[in-house]
Amino acid sequence: MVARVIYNKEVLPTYYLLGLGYGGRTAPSPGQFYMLKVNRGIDPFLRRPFGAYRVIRPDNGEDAVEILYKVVGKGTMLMSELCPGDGVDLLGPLGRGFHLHGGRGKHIMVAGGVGIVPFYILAERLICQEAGRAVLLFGGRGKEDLPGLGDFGKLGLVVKVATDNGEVGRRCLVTELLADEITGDSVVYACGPKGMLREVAGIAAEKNVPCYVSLDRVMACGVGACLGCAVRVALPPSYAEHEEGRMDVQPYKMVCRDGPVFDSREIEWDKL
Amino acid sequence: MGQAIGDVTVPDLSVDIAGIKLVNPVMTASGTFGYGEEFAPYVDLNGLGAVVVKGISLQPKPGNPTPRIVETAAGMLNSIGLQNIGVERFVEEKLPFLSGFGTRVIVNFFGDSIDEYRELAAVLDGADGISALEMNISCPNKEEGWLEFGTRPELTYRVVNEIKKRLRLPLIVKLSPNVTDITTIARAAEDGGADALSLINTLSGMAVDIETRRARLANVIGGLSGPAIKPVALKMVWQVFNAVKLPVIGIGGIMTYEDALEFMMVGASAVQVGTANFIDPEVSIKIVEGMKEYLVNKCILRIRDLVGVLESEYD
Repeated sequence: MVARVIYNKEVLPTYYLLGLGYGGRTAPSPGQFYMLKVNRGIDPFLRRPFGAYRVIRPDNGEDAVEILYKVVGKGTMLMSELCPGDGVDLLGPLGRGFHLHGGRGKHIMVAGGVGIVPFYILAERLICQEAGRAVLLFGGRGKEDLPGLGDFGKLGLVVKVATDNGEVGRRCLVTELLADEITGDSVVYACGPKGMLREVAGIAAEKNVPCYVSLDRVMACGVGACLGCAVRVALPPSYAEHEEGRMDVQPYKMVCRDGPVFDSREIEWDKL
Repeated sequence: MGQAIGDVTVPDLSVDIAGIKLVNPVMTASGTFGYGEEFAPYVDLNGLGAVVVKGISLQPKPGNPTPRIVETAAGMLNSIGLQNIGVERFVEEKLPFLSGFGTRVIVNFFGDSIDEYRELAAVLDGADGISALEMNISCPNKEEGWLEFGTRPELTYRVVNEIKKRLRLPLIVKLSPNVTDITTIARAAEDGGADALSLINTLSGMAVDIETRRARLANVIGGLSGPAIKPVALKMVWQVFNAVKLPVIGIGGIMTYEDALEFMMVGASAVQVGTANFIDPEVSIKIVEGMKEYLVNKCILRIRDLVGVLESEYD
C-alpha cells in the first residue's frame, strides 16, 4: 500500500522523522513495525523494517504515522531525500509488540539511541492505562544521539538520561541508570544495541522481574515466510539429547512474526 | 486468421502442466510464500495459478544458524537450511487452510535418502487437497557421501524413478543450476518418469564482510536469487526446453510480467515467482494482470500459444 509523505525532517544530525499519510489504516500497537520500500528500482532490493514511532492526529489535517530513523546506509540515505507528496510503499503494521502488564508497579523503558522508537506509543499506552509509574531511561553517546527526547518530556513521564560524554544527564551507561532504578515490582522494556539489551536482560533476571526486549534483524519479507530473521531461543535441557533432525522443539523464532518483542528469558543471548 | 474461436478481450490464461489445469501460469515459488497463510492477508490466493509451499521433510528441521540472509546486487543470498515443521504438522495444520482456496496446491518436498523421499511422498500422496508434488533434488544424499541428488544424472534418475513408480500425484522435479550441464540432469529426470521439470533453484554463492573478514552468512555459502540470476535461468530453461519433451516451469528472478513472458517464450509452460514476493506480496497477481493486458493488446487468444516461440533467426 502506497502512503504519501507529509513531511520528512532532520531532527538531529543523521536522525530523521518521516510523517506518512495514514488515513483509515489500522493503528500500530506498541512495538509493531512496518516494512518500507522507498525506491522503485532494485537497488536497494529488499524492503527494510522500521518501527512505528508515533501516530499524530491533528485537529485539522491528515492523520500521520511517524517513522523515526537514522541514516546508516544506502536505503536510509534515499529515504532522507523523500519530499512531501512522494509515495512510500508501506506494509504493516506487523509483528507482535509489547505485552502490557496492567497495574504492576514500576514500568521502566530502557532505550539506546534509535532504540527509542517503540517507546513513544508504549509510554502513551502506559500513561493512558494508569498502569503505575512509568520511567524512561534513555542512553546515547551525546546530546546528538538522543532523538525524540523532547517529545517524551511532554508526555509527562519521568525521563532520565545517560550519555557517554556527560553532555546531557549522567555520564554513565543507561544500564547503570537501570541498576539504580529497578525495584522488585518493576517491569522492564528495552530496545537498543545488542550489548545493552543483554545487560538489561541480566539486570532484570537478577531482580527476577519481567523484561521484554525489542530485537532488530535483517529481514526480507516481514511476514514470516522467508525465515531469514531467525533468533535462537533458549530450549529445555532435554533438547541436547534430541537428534537435531528429529526434534519437536523448534530452536528458532522469527523476529518479524514471533517478535520483534520477546520475553528476555526466551533469547539465547550467546547466539544473538 | 478470421477463426471465431475466442474473444480477444478475454484471453485464455489457463495452462496444463503435468496433467493438471492451472487457471493461469503464475505460481509462487517454494520457500518464498511460506504455507500460503503468511500472505493471505495481503493477496487473493484464488488469483494464483498455484501455490508451491515451503519445502517439507519427513521430520521437522530446525534450520541453519544466523545470519541466514544478505542482500546482494539485484538479489539476495539465503541459507535458511530448509527449516520446516515436518510433514505431519504440515498435513494437519497447514494443508486444510490452503485447500480452502480455489488455487492449486503444489507441495515441495525433499529428503536426504531415497527412503526418506519415498516415505514422505507416500504420506503426501495420501493427503487431500494436493494437486501435484515438486521434488527438490538440490539436497545432499547421506548414502552417497552427501553428494547432491541433482548433480549426477544417475542419482537423479534413481531417486525420481523410485518415487514416481509408487506415486498417484503428478511429479514435478526441481532442478539445480549448480551443474556442468543441466540438460543431462533434465533428461535423467525425464527418463526417471518426471511429469514436469521446474528450474532453476538458487545459484550457489557467497558474500564477505571486509570489516569483520567473515562470510555474511553463518553457513558461508548460500543460494542466490532475484533479478541477478534471471539471464542464467532463461538460458537454462531454453536449453532444457530443447532437450526434453516434458513441460518446463521457469523460475529465476521474475519481477514483472515481461520477465514471465521471456521465460514462456524460451519454452516455459508456466512460471514461478520467488524472491519478488518478499518485496511485493501482490506481485504474482500483478504479473497475471500484465500478461492478460499483453495478450489483449497483441490480439493473442491463449497464453499457451506463446510457449517456446523464440525466433531463431535474425533478418
